[in-house]
Amino acid sequence: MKSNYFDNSATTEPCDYAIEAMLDAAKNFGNPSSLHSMGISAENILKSSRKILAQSLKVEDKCFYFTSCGTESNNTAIIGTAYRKKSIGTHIITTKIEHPSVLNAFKFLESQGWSATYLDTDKNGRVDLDMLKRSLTSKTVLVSMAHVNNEIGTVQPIEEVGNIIKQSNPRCHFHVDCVQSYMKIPIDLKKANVSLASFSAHKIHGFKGCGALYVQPGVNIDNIIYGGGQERGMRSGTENVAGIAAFGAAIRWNNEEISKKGIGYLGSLHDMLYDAFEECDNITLMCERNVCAPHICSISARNTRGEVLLHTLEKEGFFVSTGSACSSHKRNISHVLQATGTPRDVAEGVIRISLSYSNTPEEVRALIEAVKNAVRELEQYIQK
Amino acid sequence: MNTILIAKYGEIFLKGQNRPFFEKTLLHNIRMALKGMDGIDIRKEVGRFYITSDVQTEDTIIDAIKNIFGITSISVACKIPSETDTIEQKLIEVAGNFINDLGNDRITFKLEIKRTNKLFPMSSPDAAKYFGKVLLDAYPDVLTVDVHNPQLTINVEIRDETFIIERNIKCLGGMPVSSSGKGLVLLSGGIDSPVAAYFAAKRGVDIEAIHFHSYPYTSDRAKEKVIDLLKALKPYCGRTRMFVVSLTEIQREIHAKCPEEYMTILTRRFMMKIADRVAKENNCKAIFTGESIGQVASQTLDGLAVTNNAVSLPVLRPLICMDKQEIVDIAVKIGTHDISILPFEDCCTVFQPKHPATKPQLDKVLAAESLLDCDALIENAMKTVEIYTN
Repeated sequence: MKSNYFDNSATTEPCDYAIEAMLDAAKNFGNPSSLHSMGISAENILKSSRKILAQSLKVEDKCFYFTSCGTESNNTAIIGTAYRKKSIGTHIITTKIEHPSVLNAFKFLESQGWSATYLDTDKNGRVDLDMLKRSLTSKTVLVSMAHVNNEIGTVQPIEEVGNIIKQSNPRCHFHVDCVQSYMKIPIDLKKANVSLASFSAHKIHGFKGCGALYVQPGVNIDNIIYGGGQERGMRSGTENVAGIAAFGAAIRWNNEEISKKGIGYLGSLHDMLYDAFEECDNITLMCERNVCAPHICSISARNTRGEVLLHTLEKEGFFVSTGSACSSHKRNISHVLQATGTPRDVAEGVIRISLSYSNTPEEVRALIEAVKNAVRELEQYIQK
Repeated sequence: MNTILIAKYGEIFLKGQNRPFFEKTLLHNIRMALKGMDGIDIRKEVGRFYITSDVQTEDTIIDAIKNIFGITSISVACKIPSETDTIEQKLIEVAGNFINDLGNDRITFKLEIKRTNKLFPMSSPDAAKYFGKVLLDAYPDVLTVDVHNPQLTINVEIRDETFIIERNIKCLGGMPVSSSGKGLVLLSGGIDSPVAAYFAAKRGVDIEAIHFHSYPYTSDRAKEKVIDLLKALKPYCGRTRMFVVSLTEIQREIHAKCPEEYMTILTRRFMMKIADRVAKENNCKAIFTGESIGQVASQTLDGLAVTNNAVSLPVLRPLICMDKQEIVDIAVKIGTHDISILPFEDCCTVFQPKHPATKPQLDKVLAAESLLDCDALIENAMKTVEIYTN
């Protein structure tokens, strides 16, 4: 796989299993809705991937609907819940540090008459649970939250949140965006009382253009796409069979990597990064180690713009990102860093290192050296 | 297509003995723009080119050539023999189409006839009277003549063959690109410099471009953006090369060694020196920039004097007395504006001082510059040159 690639939270390199599965599926090009044998073999591909996905989360196959991406899963969960429960209540809750596919879905609903609460976080990005308790009412129909924040790696206490919601309003839906955490941090969807959860294939070495939505048995939401009734009416449109085949194959690949390298593998690489950067007085870590996901390390170099540090590392062959890939075209400070109270000069210097099972300890050591050298080099030319 | 396209040129026609050269250049540019299209026939006549095709539609050809400098207009015409009967018939048919298109009950019209074929039995005014009557007889309830303010003007050219003009597209004029030698334009990625390149090309200059970056302080996306600008300029400027040069070391050195307020003006001087050298090495006779007086600190008259001092080639500034809004309007018209406003940092804003010198004095700037090993820095920068084409 491509070496020195540390932008795995933006996207990952498709693994060999995924590429093989995609090629196979491309040759068996039938439409799963067709009645003939080609349709049936395409349908079997969907069944098989759905089963692998369900097994990886220890839930039933029928809970999963394939979508085109994490954004679509988030939109379906949020907007689908809001419209289904409109007569019960129009209050929805999320946090200030969500991915734009959640925040902008909330903004849309606000423009349509819903009222929204955006929960505060502490400096590590951990959500304010007291505020959650205070905000929940009998009119609240949805709480949406990412398991792992995509920019700084904060892990939210999903089980605790799930219990709070259950105690205060058992009919309120709990949606968890698992796009960043899937295959990195275990989650017990049942124990955490999760009603809806989003997944994406290209973050786990599958292909772009494929995602999934988990819907807990007994939970009902409206579909937001209308058409031929594929995916049991939840997501009309001819299925992306090849992408779904690759999704299943990629899950198998991840499982094999985890059993080969051990469940603590990413954590050990992550510790190398934290050990090295905690010692540097010109580098600040955006999230404390004990609440940070094992594959995301967000740092800020003093007096250096993140973009410049990124390009300096790129020159040495290392690929990282600034904040998150989606927001790097905008000049503004990321909403996540604003919510965590990061000062502007620190926020401007942030880069994100994100790991995958394909990264090696040698690569991480080389990256640490490269970061230290780059920061030292750039500090000579501090902008006055 | 059943019609013929007449591409006319203006200013070239006034040239004396050099006219064949300009015509040849324009013909070459038209052929380049139509390269890759099958079944096109181009015939040269005095003051015009006739373009016909059995394969391509009129609009495909017009879109490909309407932005070529040197062409003043393109007419879509039907071609018929110069015989009175045939002209009568066709004129009635064409006028009928116009009347249907306009859809009014009564239409005032005027017939403009240019007779250059002296063998044709009527003079231009006589022919206008004669064929005018033919049309009045054909559409007696609809048409009336108004030679001063007509709703409909029908143009007829009676030459060896006769052309009845169905529509006329006004083009950009100017001189054919490559008829005025080569020039090097400083292309930053902003709004102004592509417009400067457009104007240089309009006067027939064969454009080469130079772009400066400060990687890692600027991103590769900024470079992609300039390449996109070069592509957007292609219909006007033709095939263009771009030299891309790194200014990182130079800017770092200036930043480390020279007074802060001279950062911008010294950077501009280095850009000019490198441009001067690249221009000479590539046979360019002038440097073009998008500067306009007073727009930013380095574009005051004092600033321009200090940057001019760094080069020996003429520095031409087509936008020098234009307002920003006028420049923006042209950028919108030529299609570079939407690319220019994409938010990627260009190297002028890297290390930008809070208070740049707006009235730099040459002796002080030169004193600041003498703190640097200019020759070595330029030599190193020249080693970073990459070349792109649109």
